[in-house]
Amino acid sequence: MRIFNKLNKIAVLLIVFIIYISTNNLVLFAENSKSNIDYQALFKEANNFYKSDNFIGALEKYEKIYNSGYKSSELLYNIGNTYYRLGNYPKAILFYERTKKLTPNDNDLNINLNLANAKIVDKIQVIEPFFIYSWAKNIRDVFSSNTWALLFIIFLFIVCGVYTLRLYSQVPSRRRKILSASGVVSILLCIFSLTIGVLRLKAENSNANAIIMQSTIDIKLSNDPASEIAFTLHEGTKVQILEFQESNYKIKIADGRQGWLPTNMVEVI
Amino acid sequence: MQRSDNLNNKMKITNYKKYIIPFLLIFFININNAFSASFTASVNNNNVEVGEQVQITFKVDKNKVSGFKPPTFKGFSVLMGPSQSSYTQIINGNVSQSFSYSYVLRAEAPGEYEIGAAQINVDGNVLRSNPIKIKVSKSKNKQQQQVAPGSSQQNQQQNQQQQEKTLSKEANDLISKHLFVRLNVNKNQAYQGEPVYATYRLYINPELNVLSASAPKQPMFNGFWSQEFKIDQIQYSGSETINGINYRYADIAKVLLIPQQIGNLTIEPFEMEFIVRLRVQNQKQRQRDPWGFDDFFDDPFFGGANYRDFKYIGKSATGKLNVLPLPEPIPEYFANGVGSYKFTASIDKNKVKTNEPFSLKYKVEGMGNLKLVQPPILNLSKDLEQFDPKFDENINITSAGMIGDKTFEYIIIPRSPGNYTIPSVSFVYFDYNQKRYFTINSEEFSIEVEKGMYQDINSNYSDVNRDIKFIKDNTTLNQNNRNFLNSIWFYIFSSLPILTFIFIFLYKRKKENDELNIAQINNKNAAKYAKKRLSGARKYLDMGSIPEFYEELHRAMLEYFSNKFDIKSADLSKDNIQNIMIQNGYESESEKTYKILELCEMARYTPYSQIENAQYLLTQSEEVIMKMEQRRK
Repeated sequence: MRIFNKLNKIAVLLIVFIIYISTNNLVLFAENSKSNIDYQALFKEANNFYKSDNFIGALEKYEKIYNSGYKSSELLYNIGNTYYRLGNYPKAILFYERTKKLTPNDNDLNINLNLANAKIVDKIQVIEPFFIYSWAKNIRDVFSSNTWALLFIIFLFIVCGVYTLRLYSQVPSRRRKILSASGVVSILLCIFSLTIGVLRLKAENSNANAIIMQSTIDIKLSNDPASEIAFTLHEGTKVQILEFQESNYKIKIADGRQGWLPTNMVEVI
Repeated sequence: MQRSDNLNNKMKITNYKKYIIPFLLIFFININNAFSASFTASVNNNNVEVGEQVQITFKVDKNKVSGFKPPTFKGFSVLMGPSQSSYTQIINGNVSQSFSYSYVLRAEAPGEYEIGAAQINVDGNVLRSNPIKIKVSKSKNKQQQQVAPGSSQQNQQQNQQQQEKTLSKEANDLISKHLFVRLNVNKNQAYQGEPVYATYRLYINPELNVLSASAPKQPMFNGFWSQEFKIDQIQYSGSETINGINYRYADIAKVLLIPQQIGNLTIEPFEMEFIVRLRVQNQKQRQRDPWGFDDFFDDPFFGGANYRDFKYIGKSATGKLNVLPLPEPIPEYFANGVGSYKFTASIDKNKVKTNEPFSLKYKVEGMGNLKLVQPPILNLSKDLEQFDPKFDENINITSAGMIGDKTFEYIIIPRSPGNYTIPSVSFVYFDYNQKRYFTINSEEFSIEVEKGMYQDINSNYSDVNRDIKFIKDNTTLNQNNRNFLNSIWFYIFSSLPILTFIFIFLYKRKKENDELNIAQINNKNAAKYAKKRLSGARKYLDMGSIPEFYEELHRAMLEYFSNKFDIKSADLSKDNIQNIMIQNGYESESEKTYKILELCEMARYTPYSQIENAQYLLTQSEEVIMKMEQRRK
């Protein structure tokens, strides 16, 4: 009994701790939402500017929100649209690609991104990836990392609930068997949702791609300014960053060609 | 039964923990790679003589390096290097990697030198090597010669050496009159880019006995673009009389030179090494007439002479060329062409489909520095994608310059339909004979681009949706990097169910343990309590109060079995007790117990009871309990 009392005390302490942290966080949330309102209003203003074809004014306001550290898929998408209207296609592509990291399956976004890509110089033949790879990518992109994390926690609750019921079930019974089976299934679902969620989080936070901002750029064969030119790329082209060395990136383009370019020629998505 | 179930549960739980905990950890471990590298320079010999070789090695213990900058090797000349090598070594599972650059140097002058630090980039960090000191001493051979003359033997030796020296000097002078190399340059003044033709001609008196000839060193043409004519075999091509001596001559090298710098340029001499056999007269004759050259040729069989081979280095004069700059102003479209040229353009199609390539060709034809002519610059519409030009040369090298043609081919891919004009291209060259620039304008082309069958993946949408979709009105803005996954909330929420489960599990185990303990204690004390009750019952019997006796006996028995087998009072019935007794292996006693309990119940509810019966029942009960306790031991 004495041991159990100790455990009880620990449990109480833990609950108090959780409540303490959550109240702290709630205060933070409240503060955020306070300043958030201002930016929400700014977003509306920017939208109105856009609607009255004042794209420069709209861009200024959007960028103000963006630079303050606030982010949403809609904000990035609207910035992309504004740049598109201003004829700055490389920047438009940059922001569309940034949107795509958050909401990869947005139909409007994909239409606009394709239109912007049609406006740039380089037309690179994309190598179709292996179908399993694209399936996996589609599954990953069904939910955001937050949703996957939530699913994980729900499944985790189910796992613990099922095993608690199993603890109180009679030893040789059908009920117990069913509980064991559903416990295993929910553990597998747990692992699955966490794995996919982590992959999605990696994709959301990845800095592996960039857009070329220089109108014309010679891609070098090696990390040496004197080396030979492998091929030439133009503004707006998306490149995959493979390696970083002394202010140069090793990059790969959609058709598989590789080369080196200075880091200041591109902007990371 | 309950214990085994408990154990079962425990095992399941440990298995379950094994799975859950590692997979929670796997995803959130960040591995930081500490960086460290060293860059060292080493030398195989710190103390060398002039003319000796030294090997110097720069070693870095990383494999991915770039931007190596060697120091200057003052006082040394580089014979070989940099040669690079990389190693990977695995000792006891420790991987060590290294990369090294090495040079072979030759000491040129005596003194003490410090070889400075080399630089290298490793993962973005610049490392510097340690400097190295090398002492270069004078060569020992020379020192020996400088040693003061001591013994007479040395004196004699020196005398002989002196004689040898004068002899070879005299031979050298003699040979130089009969064997030499001349450089002939067709111009002594030229414009930058104007071809100049240089010939090296070897003159030999046929009566000289030349045993071998070789050219160990080829001249370098600094400041020129040079093209040597291939000479398969050196042959005598004629004879000429100079200063009364008849020579045969052969061209040993012919070079077309195109000056790339302005000012006074030098054309390096050609050096050849010969071995010539001469007849040397003996001591006496030499004193009178050291060489007797006339005899040498006229009468080789004259006695008293012997033959010796001499090494002779024949060197031509150094050529000089005054290079003039091209007249200013240099026109905008000047493409480095110097000479006289024709310029034509052609197109292979005048009607194409989008994304279908066509080619534009510009041909430069004529004579001059054709190889150095640069491609013309095209100014095309943005919809016509232009690739870097390929060029095709068909050039003969002659003494007057390069003659032939050079074609530049541009591959162009139209990206959208329409009618395009390819504007005329200006080709400007300098004619050094007429001393002025000429401009040739190429033909203008027009090309019609139709919509092609093949479409870009990117332009799929452009037909359906000509314009972009509209902006989005509503949003919820979030602070950057506010990811639920990997946040403290995520960890709290995911640990919550696991901790709850662990609590429930521990609570249940604890409760079961407590119950088990009570049962064990009751089991131990069962007989003790039963004896108390039984002695109470005997008192009632002695007192003659029969109903109380039966009641006490019945209670004693029930309590005993309740404690003994941990049966709840609700489940205490004679049938149940009998069953449990059989299950626990007390079959013989179970029959008796059943009877005792049955009689007790009957006696409690029937008023007429016999004392003899009561006495018998009490002894029977005592016997059963005794036997059961004995069995337990």
